[in-house]
Amino acid sequence: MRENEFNKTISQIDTDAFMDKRITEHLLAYEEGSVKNNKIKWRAESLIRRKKAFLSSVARVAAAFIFFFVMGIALVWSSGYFKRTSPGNANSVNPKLAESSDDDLETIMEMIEPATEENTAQAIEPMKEEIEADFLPKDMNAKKITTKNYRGGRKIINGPFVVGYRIGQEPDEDVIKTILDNCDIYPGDDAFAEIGLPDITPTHLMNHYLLDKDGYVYKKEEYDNRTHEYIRAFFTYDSTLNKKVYLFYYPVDASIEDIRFISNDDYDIVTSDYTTKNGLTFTLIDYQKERHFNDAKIMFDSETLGNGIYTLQFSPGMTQEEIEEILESVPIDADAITIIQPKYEDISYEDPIVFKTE
Amino acid sequence: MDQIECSELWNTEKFIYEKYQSYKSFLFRIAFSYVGNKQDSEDILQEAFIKLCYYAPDFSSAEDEKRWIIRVTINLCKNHLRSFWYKNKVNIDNLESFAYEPKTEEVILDLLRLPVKYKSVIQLYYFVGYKVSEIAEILNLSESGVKMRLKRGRELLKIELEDAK
Repeated sequence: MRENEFNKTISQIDTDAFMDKRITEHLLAYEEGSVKNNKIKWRAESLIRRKKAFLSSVARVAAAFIFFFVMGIALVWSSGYFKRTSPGNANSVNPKLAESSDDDLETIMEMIEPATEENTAQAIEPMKEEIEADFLPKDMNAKKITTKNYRGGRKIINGPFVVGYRIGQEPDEDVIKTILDNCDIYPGDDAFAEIGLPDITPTHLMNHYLLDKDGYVYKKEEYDNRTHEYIRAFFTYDSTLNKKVYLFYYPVDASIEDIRFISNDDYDIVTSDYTTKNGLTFTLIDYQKERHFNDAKIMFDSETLGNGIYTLQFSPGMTQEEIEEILESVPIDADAITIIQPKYEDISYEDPIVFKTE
Repeated sequence: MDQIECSELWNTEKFIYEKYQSYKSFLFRIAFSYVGNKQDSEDILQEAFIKLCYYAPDFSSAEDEKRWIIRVTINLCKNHLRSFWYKNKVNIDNLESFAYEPKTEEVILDLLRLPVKYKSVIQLYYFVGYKVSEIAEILNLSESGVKMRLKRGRELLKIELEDAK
């Protein structure tokens, strides 16, 4: 068969008018069975909300700018700086400065440190995105230690090890070295290597969040005549613990097809899907009775990665946008895995749960 | 405000129709070449478009969106096939009639039997119309690797190149 003949043949494989009608109608009436369903309304409204949010954020920034500008002017004015430059009323406005002698001015000038290469570099250093630091604890098998800016503070990153501190708490090198030398933390890539996987921590967490001092916990336990393994890590955006993310990975010997989750009405869960740009579809589980604690779960069978359950648990303070940003950075190749939808089985409380007591 | 809402609703409908018309043919062919029947292909197509219209992220370009929907469709097909084989409901040798010409049926059967690694290259080249360099980028393969798979795929499908005749 020639190429154009093949093309002609496969062009016969196409949708028909009835199929087009069924699919488009279903798309328009998705979930509610009406064109004006909530989803479409929500979508339309979300566009308006986004526009409004943009305008309000612009207004907020403008208001903040005006506020700080006015405050700055007021502060400078109250310090007498502007008034001193006005010779006409110098005496009446700021007698101290007006009466200051040349000696006083010299003293003031001496207090101001002249700009040198060294102190300019010191001032600029914290503003740099990433700076190599000198205090490498050689015995830590460190990949790289860097200091990075993050909101209002800095953190030291040694590969997967992260120690954060606030601006104003200048890092004592000895303290940092002690922390790094003694912290009982497990590098992410080593933890995942235990189960033959590359590090699949979302890169957004590694770059913007702090890893808990426990690091990556890898556990292997034997019970129910089976080996249970998992990797756990806890990340927080900052020390306020408002934004927390728990990472869990459970490798599974059998196919994920055989896994069932147990659920009951008490959890009151709402599930939805989120598909990343890379084609990974996460099942988002909103635990409504747990103050909207969200799980993003992906269950897969894979010839290269093995079978497993990858779960990210987000604290209630996190927005959908933040969750999506983290999910987008999950370094799992969608082509390498076959995603399995989670299956739930309800528990009926009419059947009492009996614990085996031997 | 009502006017804005109406116009947004209209935009959404337009968006859905435009996307559907742009992608339906090649996505249907991709789905069909995996699952081999209209009904399941329609379900997969519907699911892929729901994901695109209601759950997709913002795309930086139309090309990103196209690649995303192709990937999602292929993943849906693979998921479908897993349950398909797992439940062992249908055997490839006993597939129901496709209701196409006998020659088309023969091509479809050859496509269904094609190993996945050749199938994906054939789909992207013939169904979607990507060039070898683009396929190499999408599948993260070298161009020579794509050419080799394309060659073997053609051999298995008994396709002769136009300039080889």
